[in-house]
Formats: sequence, C-alpha cells, structure tokens
Amino acid sequence: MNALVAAGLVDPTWDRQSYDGIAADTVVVFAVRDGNPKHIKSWADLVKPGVHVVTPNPFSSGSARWNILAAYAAQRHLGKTDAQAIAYVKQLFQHVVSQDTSGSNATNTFLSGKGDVLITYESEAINARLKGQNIQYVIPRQTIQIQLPIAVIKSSGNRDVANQFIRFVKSEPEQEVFGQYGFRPVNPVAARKFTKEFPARPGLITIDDTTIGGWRAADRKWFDPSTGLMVGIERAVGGPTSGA
Amino acid sequence: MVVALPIAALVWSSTKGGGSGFWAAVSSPEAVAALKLTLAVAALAALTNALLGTITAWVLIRDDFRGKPIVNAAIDLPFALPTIVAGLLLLTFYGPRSPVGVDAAYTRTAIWLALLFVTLPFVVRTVQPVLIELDVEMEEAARSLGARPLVVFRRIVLPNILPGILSGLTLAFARAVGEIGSLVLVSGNLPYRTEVASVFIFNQLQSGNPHGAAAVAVVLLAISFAVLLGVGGLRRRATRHDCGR
Repeated sequence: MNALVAAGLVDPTWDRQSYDGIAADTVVVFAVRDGNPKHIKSWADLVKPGVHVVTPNPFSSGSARWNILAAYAAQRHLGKTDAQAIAYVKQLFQHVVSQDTSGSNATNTFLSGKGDVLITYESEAINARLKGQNIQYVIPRQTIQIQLPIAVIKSSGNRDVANQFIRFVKSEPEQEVFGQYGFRPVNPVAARKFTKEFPARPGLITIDDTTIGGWRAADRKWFDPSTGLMVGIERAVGGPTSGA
Repeated sequence: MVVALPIAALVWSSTKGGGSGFWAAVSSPEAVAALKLTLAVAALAALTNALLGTITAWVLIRDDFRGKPIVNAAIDLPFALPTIVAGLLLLTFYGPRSPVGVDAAYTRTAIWLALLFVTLPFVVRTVQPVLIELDVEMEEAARSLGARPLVVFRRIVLPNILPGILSGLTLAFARAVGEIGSLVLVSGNLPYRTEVASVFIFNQLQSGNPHGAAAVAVVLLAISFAVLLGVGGLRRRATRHDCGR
C-alpha cells in the first residue's frame, strides 16, 4: 500500500478510515503433515535437524515477507537480541527446500508432498481445506497479525461507489462471510461469532511492533533488492560461500 | 517491428539506472548464479535432445511399427501444452508422489528434465524433413562397397543431417533459455541452487526493481543471440561442402 501511496495512486490518509483501513486479518501459521509426525509447534521446531521448510521467495511474494517478519519478531519477543534474531532467520533459511514465487504456489508445492512444514497464512490453510485438501495447521504461540488493507484508487471515476463498497466490506454481514472463508473479521460483532475457528493469541505481534517498526522500515531493512538483510541471507545460505 | 521494437524498449529500460545501475544489477552474485545455471542446463538439455531427437526422428522415418502415426503426433504435444500444464505433469511424474518412484523435483535434475520435455519437438521436426529427403541409394551404394553401418552413418548420413540437427539444437537452446512456466512449478526456485534466470527476472520485477530485471534480461538476450550466431556459423560451414560438388 505504501508503494501505491508513493506513486500517488492512493490517498496517504487511507489508514485513518475505520479499522485503520483494514478489511480483514489473518495470522502466520505452520501447515504440517497429517498427524504432525515431526511434532512441529514452535519456531524452534522449524530449525531442528532434518526439518524441511517451504516458504515463498521474499523478493516476489508478500506472503514470504510476513513469514520472515513473523520469524524475526517472534525471536525478539522471546528475548533474543536483533543479531540473534537475524541469525535465527538465517538458520531457518538453511532448512528451506523450496522458495516458490508466491504464497499459493508454495501451498501447492507443500501439498504435492515436498517439505515437512509450510509457513503460510491461516486463511490460505483454511481456504485449501475448504477446497477439500487435507491440510493441518498449527498456530505458533508467537505469531504476526497479517492485515489485509483496502483503499480507493485516487484517479478512479467511481469513487463514491468504491467508498460504498469499502463500507459494505466492513459491515457486519460481509465480515461474517469473510469469517466463513477463513479470514479473521475486523468488525468486533462478527469476530465474536468465530472465536472457536480463530483462536486468540495473546501478545499477537503487529507490523507496527517496536521490533519491526512498520512496513517502510521493514522493507528498507530486510527486502531492499540490493542492501536488504534477505539478500545477504539468501547468499549465505545458497551462494558460493555456503558450501551447500 | 514486432521483434525489434519491444527489444529496443527493453534495452532502454535497462539503462534507466545508469551504467553503474546496469552493472550492479547484472553482477550481483544471485544474477550471475541464475544466468550460469540457465545457460548450463539449457545447453545440456539442447545437446541431450540433439541426440535423443535425432534417434527419434530416425526411428520415425526409417522404421515402421504399429501406432507410428500416434507417436508421430505425440511428439508435438509439448508444443500444444501450456507450459504450466507441462510443469504439473512433470511434478506429478517426477515429484514426491511419483508413480515410478523418481523424486527429482526441486533439484537441478528437475530443470533438465523439464527442458528436455519442452524442447524435444524442435530437433525431431528439423531432422525429419532432412532424413526424408536423404537419398537412400547413397547409403546402399556405400554398403555395397563394403562399408560397415557405423561408417555409413558417420560418412554419409551424419554430414547430410547435421544442418538439420544444428537448426534443431539452436531452437531447442533458445526455447530452453527462456522457459519459465514449467520451471516455476518444478524447480523450487532456490536462489543460487535452482533459480533460473527467467524466475530471477520475475522476482526482481515483483520486488519493484524493473530496471535491474531489464538489465539481466538484456544480458540473457545478448548471450543467447551470440550462441545463435555461433551455431548458425557452424551450420553454414556444415552445408558448405554441398556447394563444392
């Protein structure tokens, strides 16, 4: 969304609308094999010997970026320092066996039999289940809240209708539909109807958490195509110096 | 027009970051690794198919067997299939749930196998017409003079079908270098290990770096063009002896 604001396509006040401009939420979860044979429950379990992880490529997938920030912030909330948490992310990527170009491609890779655990959105896992795929998932105790924003394009010729649509999307009946499809409603009335499907996680990390500092800072620190931390991590894990 | 203008636009886009931007994009270790992988596996697949395609063409032209028309038509299947479908096919056959127990998915072998699949028709279809036109009398004459079948092949058949093989090789290489649809599903796209140039370029585009992506694309184009020119030169030398008669 920041990219759209910078390009002048979206009004910078988009996040001052109701619910901070968010239409629905979801969280980062671990999708595991039937019966969870490797007993994967926490971030520490992902880096145990022999565990193969599937997550998308952060340079082509937004989903991958949420996953990485969740991994990092979870470690920080467990008391690790910045350097230790970054080292964890590097260790995590040593266990990654496939980096698909998008979150849904990663889901397909996992469903085709590759890997022991897929780091994905809760909504993606529920969606796969609704389509009849046999997928189990675990919500780690420390996880990040993924926010799905919605905003009107400034140059639109249908701004009134677009705004009406946004209000509709945030209305209680619509939010319930979101809930049925695996997304956590932002509307509190609708959200109350889904407490069983969407277990709460106290201490849920958000993008504005002090350890992350918002999307602009995160993009600069982690995902800049030449200076981001992920460039160094990918190189260290797969590159000529890795010995892999 | 249809080819030159878009390429010109691509070259222009790649220069938007200046000379230093171009060099930075192209010399980054991940870009270099992706380019090396693409060129190496494409060359290997093209050469493998030069051999397999020639054998296939030979069998289709010289032998007769039941179901030949079906096999002949099936050669063109990789042309007809959308590449994503080809990828799915390969994943099912060579992946973790393979019915023949071959789990090569998400490795460099998977890339080679995918490229073999999509480039097979090229060599077969360029060698077939040459084989059809080949005068069998030449081979029969050679054999009647006492030449062993291998010598007949090496001295009579091969020089005549070589231009066809080289044409097919060129097309196969060019196609392999640009392949993305099937590779995106079967290779796992691990940077430095199984990430090919086309996927790398796609990732750069997705992370908001279109000029860097254009720069790497231009380098890939330039190298492919050079290879095509080189093989074209070889082809001209192979056909030169025809003129001397």
